[in-house]
Amino acid sequence: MPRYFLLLSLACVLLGVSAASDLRAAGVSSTVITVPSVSVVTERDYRWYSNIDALTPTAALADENVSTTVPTAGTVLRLRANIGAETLPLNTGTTFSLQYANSTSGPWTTLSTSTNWIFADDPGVADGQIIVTTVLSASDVGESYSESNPTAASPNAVIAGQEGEWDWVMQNNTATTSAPWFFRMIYSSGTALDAYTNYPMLSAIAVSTSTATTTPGGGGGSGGGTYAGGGGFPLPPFHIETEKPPPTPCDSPIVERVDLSGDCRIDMVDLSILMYYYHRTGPEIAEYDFNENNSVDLFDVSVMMYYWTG
Amino acid sequence: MKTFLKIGFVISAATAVFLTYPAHAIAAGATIFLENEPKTPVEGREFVVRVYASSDQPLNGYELAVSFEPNKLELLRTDTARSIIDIWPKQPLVYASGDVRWSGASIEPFVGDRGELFALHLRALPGASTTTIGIRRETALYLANGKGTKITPQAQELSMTFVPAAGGEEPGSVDVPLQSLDNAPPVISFFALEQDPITPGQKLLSFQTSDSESGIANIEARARSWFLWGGWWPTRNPDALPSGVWEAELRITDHAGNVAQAIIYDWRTAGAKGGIMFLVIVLIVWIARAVLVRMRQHG
Repeated sequence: MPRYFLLLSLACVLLGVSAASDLRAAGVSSTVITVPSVSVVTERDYRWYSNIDALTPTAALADENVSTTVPTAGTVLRLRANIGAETLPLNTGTTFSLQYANSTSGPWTTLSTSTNWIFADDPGVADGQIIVTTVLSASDVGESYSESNPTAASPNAVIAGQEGEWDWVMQNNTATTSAPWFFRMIYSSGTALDAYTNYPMLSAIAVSTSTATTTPGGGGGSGGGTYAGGGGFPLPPFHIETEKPPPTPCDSPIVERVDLSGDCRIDMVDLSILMYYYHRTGPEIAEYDFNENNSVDLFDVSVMMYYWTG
Repeated sequence: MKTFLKIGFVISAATAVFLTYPAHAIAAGATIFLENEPKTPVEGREFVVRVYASSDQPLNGYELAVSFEPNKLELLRTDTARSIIDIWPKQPLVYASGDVRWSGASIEPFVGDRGELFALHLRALPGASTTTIGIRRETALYLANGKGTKITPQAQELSMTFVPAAGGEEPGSVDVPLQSLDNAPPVISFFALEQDPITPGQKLLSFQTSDSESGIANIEARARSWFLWGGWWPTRNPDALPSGVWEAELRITDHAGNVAQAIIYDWRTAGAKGGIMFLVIVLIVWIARAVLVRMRQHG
């Protein structure tokens, strides 16, 4: 008899444990898989403008997201382009660079001082000036005007779902007008944005494969570069040769090394730039790290102050 | 009708002026203003005018031009004790016309209200009952955005009226006894003696000092290339020294007389010079020993 009690008790205990474990299994415990939120940053709208020595361009060359033709060498253009943030805001302090290519698949080149497209200077507008008036219809917040790569650290955050607008002033240095040109903004670190809805585009000027109407034994001819009429032999590939602007080195190599703004002076603009990179490290600070100790520190500030020209 | 035309003309003119005004000159949200301490300065006594900045964008560069009436005020000294500015490339320029120009940079970008830039310690000259201190149009601020974008802040001048000194009071007595409260020596937060990376053949003595009470009054340095110290000389950051210097000393005095000192070595130069000095000593000992031996042999 006691055996039956023992077996019954054991069965009850086993049943209880089992029930308890079932309860636990059916309880509130759960596994949470966290997926980090990713900010999707997209270059969206653009519009080309004639350049003006003012912060807000006024003379549009085409509608929004519509290309205009490649201007001749030496022409300065303004490009207003916006970037949209999704999921997460685009924080202040972000910097971007401008690139160009003949195709959206690249290869992309970052604008510098001797590339096909270079930056220009509007003396009445300071590089990095904060945009007061946006011109693109979907833009929500003004960012900065840029005469050089990279942009100024973005002064305003772009809230998720909104678009921030940047302004670029660029010049055709040696870019052919017979090919299309595409532009894009990337992070100044060299990383492309997550997506591009529209690449700002300049269309090639159509070159007709026509022949010169020649008058036997007469003047004119094909050598003058004016082509008209149809039929006949094809033209040679269109090619523009323009003289590169002469470099304008500073008088002193010392000034050239310490001058960070490129105006051949060592003044408050340079000190402000240097202070922006203060205590930063890495390859991007090489220009500012005068003593090459891989950090922008007070000694670098002292070097600038020693060579101060004001 | 005429009234409407006038209003229309005024609005058009104002719009035209606004649109033609250089874009960089418009800086919404940045202001430079002045405050005096005490609020009612006494004629003939020292008072302080503090220069402040407020900005909704981060700033790290400050180019300041303040003007006072030199026929009414005497500038006693400038003061950076409470300044948000850490780096002053040059000493302030004080012109006989009453202009004070100074520029500097802050390590931490400044955003917010009432960031003190510097202070002027002034005294009203006899007969001055009112005066105005202005901010000149050369004043500019620089955005901490990596481009050094120059902006022109809105400026607010300061007008003040002096109350006559009470009978029997000694003219010129100090109303703002900052110095007597300061018992702390200046702080030397950075001190370096390194090869100039731009110009070979010289070193740069580089330092960062501050005194949050009475302010820095005097900075001196001395150095030695061999055994003996050179004399003290007044210095400022940075200072160029010959590349042979292996030890330098800094002596900072604040306006209350507190002193801070620091010594720095260039161990590479010290090692090289120590080796040379050791060889010289060995050579001298060897010659002396040889002379002694020869004297004994002959003696």
